[in-house]
Amino acid sequence: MKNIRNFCIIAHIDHGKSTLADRLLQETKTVSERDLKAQVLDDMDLERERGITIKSHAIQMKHVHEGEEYTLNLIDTPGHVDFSYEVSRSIAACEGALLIVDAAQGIQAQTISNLYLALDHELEIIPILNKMDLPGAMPEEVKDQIEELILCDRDDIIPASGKTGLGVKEILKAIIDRVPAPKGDPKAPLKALIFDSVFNSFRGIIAYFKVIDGSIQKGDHVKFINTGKEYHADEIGVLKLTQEPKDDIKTGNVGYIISGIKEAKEVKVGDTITKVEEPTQTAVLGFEDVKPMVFAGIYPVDTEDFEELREAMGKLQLNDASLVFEPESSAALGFGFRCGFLGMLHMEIIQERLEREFGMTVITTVPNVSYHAFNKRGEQNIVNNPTDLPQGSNLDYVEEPYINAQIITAGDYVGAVMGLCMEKRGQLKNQVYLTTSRVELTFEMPMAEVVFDFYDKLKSISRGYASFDYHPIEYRQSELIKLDILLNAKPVDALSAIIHRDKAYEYGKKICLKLKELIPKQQFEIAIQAGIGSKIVARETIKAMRKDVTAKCYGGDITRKRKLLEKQKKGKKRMRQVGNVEIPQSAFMAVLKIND
Amino acid sequence: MAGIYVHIPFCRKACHYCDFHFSTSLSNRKPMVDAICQELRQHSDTLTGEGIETIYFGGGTPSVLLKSELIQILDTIKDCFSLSAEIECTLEANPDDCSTQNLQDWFESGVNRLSIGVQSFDQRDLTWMNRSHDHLQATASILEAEKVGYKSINLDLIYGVPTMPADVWKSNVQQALNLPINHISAYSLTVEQGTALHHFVKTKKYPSLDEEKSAIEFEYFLNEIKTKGWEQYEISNYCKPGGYAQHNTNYWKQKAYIGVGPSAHSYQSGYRRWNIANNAKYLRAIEQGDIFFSDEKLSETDQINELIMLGLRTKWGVDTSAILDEFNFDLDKHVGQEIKNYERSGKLTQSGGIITLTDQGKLIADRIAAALFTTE
Ligand SMILES: Nc1nc2c(ncn2[C@@H]2O[C@H](COP(=O)(O)OP(=O)(O)OP(=O)(O)O)[C@@H](O)[C@H]2O)c(=O)[nH]1
Ligand code: SF4
Ligand SMILES: [Mg+2]
Repeated sequence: MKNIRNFCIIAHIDHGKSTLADRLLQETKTVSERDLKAQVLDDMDLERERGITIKSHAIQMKHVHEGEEYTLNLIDTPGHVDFSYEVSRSIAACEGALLIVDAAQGIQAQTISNLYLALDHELEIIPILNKMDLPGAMPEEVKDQIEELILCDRDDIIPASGKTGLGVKEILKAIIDRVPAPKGDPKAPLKALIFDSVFNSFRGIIAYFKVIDGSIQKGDHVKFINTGKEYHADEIGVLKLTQEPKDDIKTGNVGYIISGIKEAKEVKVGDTITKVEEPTQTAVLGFEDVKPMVFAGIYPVDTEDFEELREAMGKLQLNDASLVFEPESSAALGFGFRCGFLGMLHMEIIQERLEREFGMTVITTVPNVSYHAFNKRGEQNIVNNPTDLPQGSNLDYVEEPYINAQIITAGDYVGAVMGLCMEKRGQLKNQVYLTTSRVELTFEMPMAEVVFDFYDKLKSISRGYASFDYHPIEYRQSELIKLDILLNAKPVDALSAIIHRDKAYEYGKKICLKLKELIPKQQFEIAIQAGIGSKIVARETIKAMRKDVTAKCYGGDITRKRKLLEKQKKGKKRMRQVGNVEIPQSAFMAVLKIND
Repeated sequence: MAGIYVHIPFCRKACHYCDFHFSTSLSNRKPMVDAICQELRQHSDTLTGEGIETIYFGGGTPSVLLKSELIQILDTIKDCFSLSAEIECTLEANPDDCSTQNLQDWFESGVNRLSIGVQSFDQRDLTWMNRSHDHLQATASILEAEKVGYKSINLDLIYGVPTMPADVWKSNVQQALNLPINHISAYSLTVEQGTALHHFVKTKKYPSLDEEKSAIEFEYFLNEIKTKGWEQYEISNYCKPGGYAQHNTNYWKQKAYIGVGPSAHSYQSGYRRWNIANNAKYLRAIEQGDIFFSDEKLSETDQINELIMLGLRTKWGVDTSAILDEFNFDLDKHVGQEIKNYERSGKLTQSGGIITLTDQGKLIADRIAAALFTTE
């Protein structure tokens, strides 16, 4: 055990975690030169295409240092805030963390939040100043920031580059010298923390764990404490670039278990594995069911494809336990699912995976957060779909989720950032100068206000010099109302939204205008209205179509024209009908684009 | 029955709205005529058994051809194909090319129908469109053509021009109807990708089109022309009794035609091919014996859809029993509901298995065609 080091790589998005991991794998010869490619651990197609890490990735390296062989278990973590729960579980499986800071960008919001997560778990922090090769690197300035933030010795900060390989040897040395060996009790009953799971279409769900106490043997009869489910450890092993089966995994080490688990739901990241015969008395602390933060309806483009969509969603859930969904129906869209996501990136990824892996093009409705509606008797109703908000005397008040938001920006943009956050109903809680020119602002604000265009706006008002991180805090009562959209006096349920009363008018106006742009002219006039209850707050009109005919149609025009009309016919088949009005799919996402 | 289309890919000036294939440099005219003749010879065996009934010189601007060039092409056609006695031979001409001499030369070469690109009788519109002729040449060319002996003359008009005052359109229509012509092609202005007009509208140099204005002008025109005893036999084509353009009518009836020259299309029983729309590449390919066209074999569905799309545009309508006979496809079974809905709202009528659009339906012919398309 004394030769095991478990560490994770944490940082703000894009500061170079996965690239630096490549260099460590290369230096320790874990991956042959032939297999090495950029961000080799990002093995999902989507990760490779987008150049981001979506899931944590664990891999074991062997390294000889001063004549002794060490086992180094590395976990590369995703930087995006949607996946912060995953990061926290990875951290819980480690004794040390490489905290990577981009030398050109300095400390950013997720640097701080991930650092605090690591400190909560008493991890040894090895600060690394990465991307030193960049012409814009500001080593001294960023060192100041790091020194200030983690109160470390300036000399302990390792200058490095995932590109040139600078600092890689020093990092390996620091991991061995500075990260403590795991401290578990080999004689105690098995206690292993599940920090990740992956889906394999042949082998089912594979859970990754770290043995905290005791050890696990192949064939053991084990139990997952939080789900209460029992399994046989059909295969256990360690994680090299591919899985390497072993007969046992001892205290302090990291491994995988295959036990015929079919559904990702059964493997909860953060759960504890123990033995049925000799269970541990104490599960690992900090387990939480991952809670979806945003909800949206997902509907098949062709209504007939509902069953196919159900199957695809089910399969996706097999390998992404954080995706939750339940069937719902909409007058406008037919049968579909209300899905919960970790955040907007997660939602985008699910949508893309549905398309890519299952060939399912879907209509996604405008995302919303989860509200708590209370009636006069004080009973609480969870509302994940605006149409479900009780009305009239059935509703006393509504609560919405609040977040604690940290924004780090340059001093010049403080005013603009504050303005934006105030407009988004934020309350300034704290303002700290990290250095003379960098400020950390802390706000409490409604989650609903940051769901869509917040981050883009933040980036544009700060010319890119602002990073943003958040975590949910609590539910608070707000003046929220349901705004309905009507087309020729018929409400379009899938376009209803819950919003703050003060914003209803402006929002209603904008969405009516956007819809006017997106709904094609039809043979009759269309009234687009936004209303609260029976009160109309905005209206636009789409004039009846007068003319839809090609001027010239001679020999050379026929093919092109036919293809165009065929396309139109297909598009029309995909339109949804509310009353007599046909609505194109794009209209259901209109709200996301109301500021374009 | 078959037709030959000859594309002459040269114009003196590029009209702002035009997305046809042409070059404004006339320097390659001679080699182009040679290449076209060579292509014609390649086709000589494709239409065996079919007599040629129509020849159409389009473009571009075929009136830029020299008499000798025109004759060279016509002689080649006569060499390679059997022509019917009653042949219709049309030449598109711009008014600025219609000198008495030219009109006579064409006539003597065998051209018996002219299609004159007038577009408007008002100079402001001609300037706005960047036409090569002026407003005086428009009227003069037609009067002169009549004198030379042309019995069949078409003139093109454009409506829906945002800057054209309503009374100018009315006056254009009246002037046209007072000229010795038997055919009018009236086109609603459209903004096509890649044209100067498209650019001007996008950059707000020119106002964008007004659908309502275009519809009103169309209705005015339709009304005027009908009271004068003319007939609308295709969405954009009108004639005095019997004055149908045979060549174009063949397109709408899916008859066979051969198109030669850059960008020209050919069609014969479900097979369509189109030449490369690039003068230099066309010339080189012909010279070197390379492939200079793309083609497609239309599926039965494609053919049915084209019959619907084209049929709806004409007074002859969509012949559902002919479709049933030829393709064993029952339109009524597939889109009967759509047909009934449009019939009920007064957009189309059915009689004896033939579907035709009403005047109201003609305004939205594309939408109706798309609705009646089959997607099998
Ligand atoms: N110049 C330079 N570029 C680097 C270096 N390390 C990483 N990059 C680039 O920075 C970008 C992000 O690198 P990744 O390794 O994917 O960053 P990450 O922190 O793993 O990103 P997430 O997992 O999405 O949070 C890529 O374009 C890398 O090529 C470095 O040391 N120098
Ligand atoms: S003359 Fe005819 S083909 Fe040439 S640019 Fe003008 S409209 Fe187009
Ligand atoms: Mg990464």
